[in-house]
Amino acid sequence: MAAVSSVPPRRRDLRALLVIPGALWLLAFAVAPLAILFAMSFWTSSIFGTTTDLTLDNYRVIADDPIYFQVLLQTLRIALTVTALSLLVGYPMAYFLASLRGPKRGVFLVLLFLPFWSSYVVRTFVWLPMLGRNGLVNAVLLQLGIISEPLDWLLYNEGATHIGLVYVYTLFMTLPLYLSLDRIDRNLIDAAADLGAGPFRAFFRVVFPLSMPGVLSGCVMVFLLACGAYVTPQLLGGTSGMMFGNVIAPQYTVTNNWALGAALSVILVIVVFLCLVIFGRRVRLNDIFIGG
Amino acid sequence: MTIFDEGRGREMDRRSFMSGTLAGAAALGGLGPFAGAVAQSTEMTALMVNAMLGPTLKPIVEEEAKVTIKEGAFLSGTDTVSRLTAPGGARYDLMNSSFAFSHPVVMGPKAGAERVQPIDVSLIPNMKYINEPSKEGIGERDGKVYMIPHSWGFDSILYNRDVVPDNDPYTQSWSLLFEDKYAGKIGWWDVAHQMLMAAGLYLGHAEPEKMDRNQLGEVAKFLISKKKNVRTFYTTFAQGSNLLASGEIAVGYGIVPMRVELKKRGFNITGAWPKEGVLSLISASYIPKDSKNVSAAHAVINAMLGERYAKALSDGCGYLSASKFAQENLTDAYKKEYGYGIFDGSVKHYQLKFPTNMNMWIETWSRVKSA
Amino acid sequence: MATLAVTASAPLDTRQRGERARRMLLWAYAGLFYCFLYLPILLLVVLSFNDSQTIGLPFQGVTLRWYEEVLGSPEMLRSILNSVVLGVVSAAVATLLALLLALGFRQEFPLKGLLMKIILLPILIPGIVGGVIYLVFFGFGEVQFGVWTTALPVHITWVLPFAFLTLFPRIHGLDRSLEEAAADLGARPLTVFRRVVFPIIKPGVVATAMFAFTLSFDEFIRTLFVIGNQRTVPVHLWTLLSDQMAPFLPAVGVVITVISMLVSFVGFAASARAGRAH
Repeated sequence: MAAVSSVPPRRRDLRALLVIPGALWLLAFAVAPLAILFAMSFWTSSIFGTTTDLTLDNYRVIADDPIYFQVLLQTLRIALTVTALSLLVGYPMAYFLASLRGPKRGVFLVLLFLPFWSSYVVRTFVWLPMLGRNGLVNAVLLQLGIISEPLDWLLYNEGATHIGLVYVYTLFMTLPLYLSLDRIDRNLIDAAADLGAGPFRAFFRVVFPLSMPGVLSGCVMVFLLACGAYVTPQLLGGTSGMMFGNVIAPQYTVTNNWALGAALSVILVIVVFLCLVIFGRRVRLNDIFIGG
Repeated sequence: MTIFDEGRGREMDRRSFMSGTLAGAAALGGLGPFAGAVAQSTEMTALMVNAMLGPTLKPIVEEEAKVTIKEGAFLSGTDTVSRLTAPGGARYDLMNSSFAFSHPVVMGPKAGAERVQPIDVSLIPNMKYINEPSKEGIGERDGKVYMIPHSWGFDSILYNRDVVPDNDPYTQSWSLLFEDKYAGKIGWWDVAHQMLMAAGLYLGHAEPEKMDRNQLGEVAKFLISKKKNVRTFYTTFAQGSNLLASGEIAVGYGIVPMRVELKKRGFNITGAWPKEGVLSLISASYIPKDSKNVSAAHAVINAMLGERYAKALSDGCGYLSASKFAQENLTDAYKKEYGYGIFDGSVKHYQLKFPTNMNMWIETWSRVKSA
Repeated sequence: MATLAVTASAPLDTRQRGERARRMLLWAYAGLFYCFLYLPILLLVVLSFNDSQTIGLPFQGVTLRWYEEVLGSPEMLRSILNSVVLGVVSAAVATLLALLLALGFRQEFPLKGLLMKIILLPILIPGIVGGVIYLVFFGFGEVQFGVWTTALPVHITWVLPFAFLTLFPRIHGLDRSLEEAAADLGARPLTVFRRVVFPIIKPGVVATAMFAFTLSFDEFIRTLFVIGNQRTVPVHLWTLLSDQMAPFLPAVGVVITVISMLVSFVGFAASARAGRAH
């Protein structure tokens, strides 16, 4: 063994060169665009166009107007709540899947995937006829005589944004949870029970800690996706359920203030990265994605 | 192990993957004729209110100009002119938006600063049919023409007659769009220019486009205080129409084509005639500098001033053609319904002019929205 | 552990009863969860047959005209074609790049940690910023917007980290002694890869490509900003949603869902058969 593993080091170095195409690609299409965005956040934009005159005005505008900070906070709050809700909704489901044996498991897994083969846009807009004035929920409640007038507050507010986001991203939570639960040795749980641990203690002392990698992966993924949401709050959020994406996008699609949009984007990226770094003190970033 | 791995295809090999996608591709192969049918005549891209090329109108233009038109999604006049100045160019062969609002950006402050190319009027023989009131919408500088009028239109408040009775005095003013009476049933169009113009008119500014920072601040304060009445914003005309049709909102800012389409589809929705004036516009066509199909753009402008298109326009989308053929065979009742009163003075209107400080307007509206 | 289990003397009866109650609870929860998941989709199917000018209830009778409208629309068909081809090409390129990266990552080299973070970058950048970044990037580069000029590189970049993360653990965990034995027997590196490494990781590579395809097929926000006047399936849907009154929208949703299910399902079924034959 010792002799075999002492392959001449030169050859190993050469094989490391295989990363070059991928690295170059990412430099060109991930790092460079981000760098340009960063540079642009110091440029000058108006309805008459964008020039490369350097300025701090974009950041000054954002700092001067408390609105941007409020929307940013609201975005982080919504993203966190959505993450927590997804975890609450997804965990028992993942537990259920992991407890199944044989072909049943395959069937229910496919059932979990099917809705995600429809488009993201479909999964979002379908909540309009669910929650709207003439929507299914109102129709059922009216039919049952529980209400006499359609409820208006089901749609076009923060609550609807939450429902939409949880629905749209469920798979990103449930799947890593399931994968990590599936890897837990059942004997461990049985042993805990045999040692007299009640089902709850066995769960919180044994199962939950062992599923932590899945919990982390799922939470980070859903949090990231929710922070960058645009379509869901746009369609369902009305006037109050706005998120940061809905402040960034109009700078490009409506008002032509590319530089301000760039500054807002840079801020969102920095805040998200900071969240991950704070989070990453306890777990290494790579483990979140690879360890799930 | 990764997050996603395995769920979708444990033990899947290349052959099965390829056969899967190939089967899909083969099924789509049957669609070949459709893909092939496109490139018959010369193709050009246009960005204008999509209803101007609605199902009854587009075939006329395509036939007369001998082109195939691919439309971009029209958002607003602000969005359209801002594309002219966006990095990378406009990326459209032909564009169209309201003259009074657009010409400061389109034609620039002085000669040489135009952001579009001059239009060769010898290729637009139908220009001679442009009616008197529309001549205002010809963008000319130093003998060169940069913008050519297409039609008249106006924005107003659309309302559902099942909810808002016609004799409700609120329908006589822009108050319908703001005040508490129909709280929770109102929709606002997510566009700085039109919304602030409407609010400015309603609050008594004679020339709202000249509002200064303080006055804009007042308007913003008013709008923020009324935001509680708003069920949702919409960014496109279709979204607004859908909201009105589905009963999610009963009152909303709207353009004439919305009203016409809703009526055609059988909804009991009409437009108000506010005493402060409807917000009027002459939409005008222009050809961006990076247009790739200049001759097609000219042909389309010409066709849109032609007799067939002009006569079909009002019925097709509610706008009033800039050509003198527009009014030829319209009854008085019809003229009234489509707002020809803005020509003879029987309907009060105010043109959507370019604000003195557009950037400030945009900031103000952002503040209203995010508040 | 096994011994412990045997010697434990908990009252089995109550435990079994508790176990059964827990299982019932789990099934009940799963039932609720699947309701939450499928109710909106069932509603979509119902509405796609609704003979009404608005998208919503009440149900006003059955019609097939929305389907006729959808299936007769060349734009719809072109967008499906665009999405499928875009998905296949970007899956192939991204999987290849990811495979090379993963193979290289078995060696130590300078800046390895940094490169790892760069690989994760496309995932870490929030979706809306992702769209904006490419609008700015290709806008200033004056690149013509379209499926092949801009959407393709955007899709490859977006799915690359996922492809890498799917492949890397499999390749990293590979037993090296086999390769090294082959190398010692005089096999050239490429031969070692073709004969020893690739057969082992092949299922992983295919699963990765499949996954990359679905990610690309569903990508929306980044594509929306850079695709210009062309359309993929999600962009087409969005356009319908925002540009016209489209009572046929539920029918579009159903058609698209059925198509993507079919594509994925055919892949599944074929692989199951191939697996058995193997």
